[in-house]
Amino acid sequence: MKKNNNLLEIFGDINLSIPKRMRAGQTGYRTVTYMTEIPEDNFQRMLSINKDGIVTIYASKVDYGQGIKTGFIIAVAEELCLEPEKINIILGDTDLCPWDPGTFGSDSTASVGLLLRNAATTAREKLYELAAERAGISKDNFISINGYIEQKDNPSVAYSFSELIGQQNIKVNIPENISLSSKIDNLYIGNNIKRIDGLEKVTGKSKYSRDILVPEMLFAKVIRPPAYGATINKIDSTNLQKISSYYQLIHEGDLLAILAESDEAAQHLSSMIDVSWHTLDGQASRWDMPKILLDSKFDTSVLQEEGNIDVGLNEADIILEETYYVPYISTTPMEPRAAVAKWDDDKLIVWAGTQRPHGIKSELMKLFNLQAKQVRVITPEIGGGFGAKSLYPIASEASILSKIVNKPVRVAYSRNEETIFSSFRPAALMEVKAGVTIDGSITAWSFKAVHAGERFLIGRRGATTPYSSKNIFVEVSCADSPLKTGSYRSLGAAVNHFAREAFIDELSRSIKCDPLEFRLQNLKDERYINVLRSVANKIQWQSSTSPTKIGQGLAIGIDVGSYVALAVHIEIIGTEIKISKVAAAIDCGLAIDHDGIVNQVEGGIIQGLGGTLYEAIEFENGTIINPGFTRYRVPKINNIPEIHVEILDNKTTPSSGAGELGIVPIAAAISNALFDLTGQRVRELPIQRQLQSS
Amino acid sequence: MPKITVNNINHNITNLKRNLLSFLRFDLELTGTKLGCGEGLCGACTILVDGQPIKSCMSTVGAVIEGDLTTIEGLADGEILHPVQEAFIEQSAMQCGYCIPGFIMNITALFNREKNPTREQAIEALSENICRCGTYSRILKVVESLREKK
Ligand code: FES
Ligand code: FES
Repeated sequence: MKKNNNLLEIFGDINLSIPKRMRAGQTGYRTVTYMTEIPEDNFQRMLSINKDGIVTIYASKVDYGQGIKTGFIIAVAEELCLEPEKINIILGDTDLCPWDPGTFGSDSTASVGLLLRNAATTAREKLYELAAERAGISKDNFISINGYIEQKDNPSVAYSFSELIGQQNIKVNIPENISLSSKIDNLYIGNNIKRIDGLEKVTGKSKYSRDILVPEMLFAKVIRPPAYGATINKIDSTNLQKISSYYQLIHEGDLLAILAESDEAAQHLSSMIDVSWHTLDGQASRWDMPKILLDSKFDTSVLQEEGNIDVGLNEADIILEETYYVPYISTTPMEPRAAVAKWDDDKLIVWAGTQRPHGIKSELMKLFNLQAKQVRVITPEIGGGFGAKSLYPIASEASILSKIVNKPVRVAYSRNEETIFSSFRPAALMEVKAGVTIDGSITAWSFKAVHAGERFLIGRRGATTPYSSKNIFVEVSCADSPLKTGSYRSLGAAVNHFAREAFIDELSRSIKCDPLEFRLQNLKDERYINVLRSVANKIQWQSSTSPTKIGQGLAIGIDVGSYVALAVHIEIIGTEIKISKVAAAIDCGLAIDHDGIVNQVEGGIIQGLGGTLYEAIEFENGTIINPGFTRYRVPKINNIPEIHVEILDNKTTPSSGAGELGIVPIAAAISNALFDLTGQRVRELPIQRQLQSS
Repeated sequence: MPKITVNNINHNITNLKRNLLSFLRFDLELTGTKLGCGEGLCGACTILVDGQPIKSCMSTVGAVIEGDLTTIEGLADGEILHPVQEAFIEQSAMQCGYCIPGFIMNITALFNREKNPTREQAIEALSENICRCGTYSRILKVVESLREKK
């Protein structure tokens, strides 16, 4: 790191890596959890080319399965006109990579992807300059081809990257007024490039945080409370006195842990310790939720207000009013969190598969009162995140324990701990009321959502309506939450969309109008109309519902600036809802990594299918009743539909995220299809359970 | 002394009660085999013992003594990938990749048993493997593509 010789380094403004809606002065992320302090030197290294011509990308967006490694490499490959195989990438190492607020909200392509394209363009222009100096002609005469800067009309004049950089150490800032090559040659962008990390993943070489083993590392088993709010009353460790093997029992503040030389030893020894707990009584249980949501609203904000709802309702032929409810659900990534901490004198190094490496670094700096250069967080591969791995409390636990024993320490969650001590997608309740005329115009639209928890950005996502009406009122509130709430794929968008798109279906049915026609009639935005028409075509939408054994349902959605329409076919086999077919059409602007996007949409559909049909966190008086896979049902291979995803070509609009598009419309589409099939309207998730209990 | 063979290497066993998954991951440092639940419910820890898939989290080392074990690290022949591994790359059948070793081992075992497994047989064989990223339809395409190749 110290010797920066023989390098071309491109520096970019980290402020630009922050999604617009999160920048200073914008609404939103006011909690310290997400807004770590932005460092003062805002120009940081994003790309380098070394003397061997090797290009390296540095970014602190992390890849927990979205494939951004591949996406970033493709973006840089396109601008440098260089084969993707020749590009390295380092993500989420706080010593090497620029500051970043964290990876959430599918903003990676839009923010950092664009920055990296700018960095690559800057590098290319600099290389042209160097070539121009050598050849004594203007830099406009050059093009970049596979690691060479070539004179356009005389290919015999060509310099390799390494030749041009030579012995120099060049630092260039991305200029403010940079213009990207307006036309994309589509060498790599938009082509189906295979995943860069495929080989490592199929051979077991990828290292996830659970796989980090460092010499002399001790395995910790943290003894955790049996319920939220429980505190230690008494510890009886007399049984341990008989033990001759090595162990250390540590009780520091609220942290009680036993450290041993193997995972099993730590586990076994922990069972020999008797802890009695002070429990906290009178905590809420799951059946209390709807009432809590209605009674404890706070931070209400009005997101849309036009005309007057009462006036609009007066003009209606039909008025409908319904309440929708969703329970807490868990992200349940396949890799339960783990962290390894190690102190090198007064420098702390932590491996943690977090979505927020710089945020975790700030937390550790604060906890131990350390300077920025004294903490390094390294993000290995991440076995799924879906939002929840922004929180990584075991990084602190491992660091505290490691400091005490003066050896590297590993703390790892069990499957159950991963659920219990994570955050949940908030329970939410949506009250919707609308008026409609017989000829299909919406005279009034009132939507009041309340999402548990104090992070008001969650509930806001996707709450506004895209359907025309003269009288609109949309408000969103926070409410008390007995469980810790946090990020979940699409935040509250999937939840709000469930209520809105199902209710739109109800409205259309109330006037005997085809739900597809009704939508088309009331939408103005062309991008919605395009995805909707495309998906209707794909699923061969039937405008008149004949009594068949297949139900059809559709819904549209928007999230982080991208559009989706999704249609499903469902059947009921015995008592089980079977989703037989899903078609989705999406518009996410310029599509950089086609196959990666399709993969993400498919994954979102499957995850959404779980939340729609099966998943609900059960809790009673501070205890999660169904952690782990025994009673928390997630989709398996026999539950999956045939899926078609179509990306609408839209090269002229900047890229926006696609990670959420599958999950956002799925619940409404399924509930609409169920109505189509059975005439039963389910307004509460998970649907499979509602079906069984009815 | 009791022995097991892992990816063609012999190991003497001193602790028969050692959990097999922990033994592989921490003692042999073969971390390609994953822990997803430790309760036999997700398949991430699947390995082959004498060609048959087992969930290593539910086994002790003692239970596979004299066995011939293959983990994800031992599937390729040097640089040459196993066809199942090839197919996963070809179909981009992965996201975070954490569940993938378990699926690969189970599909390998499936093709050891059945020359031409049907879609239903594949679903049956993989019904206890969880992929939370939801790459199932791609994984089924992997099976399909391997079937076509035969
Ligand atoms: S880790 Fe063995 S089945 Fe889940
Ligand atoms: S690829 Fe992430 S769990 Fe399967």
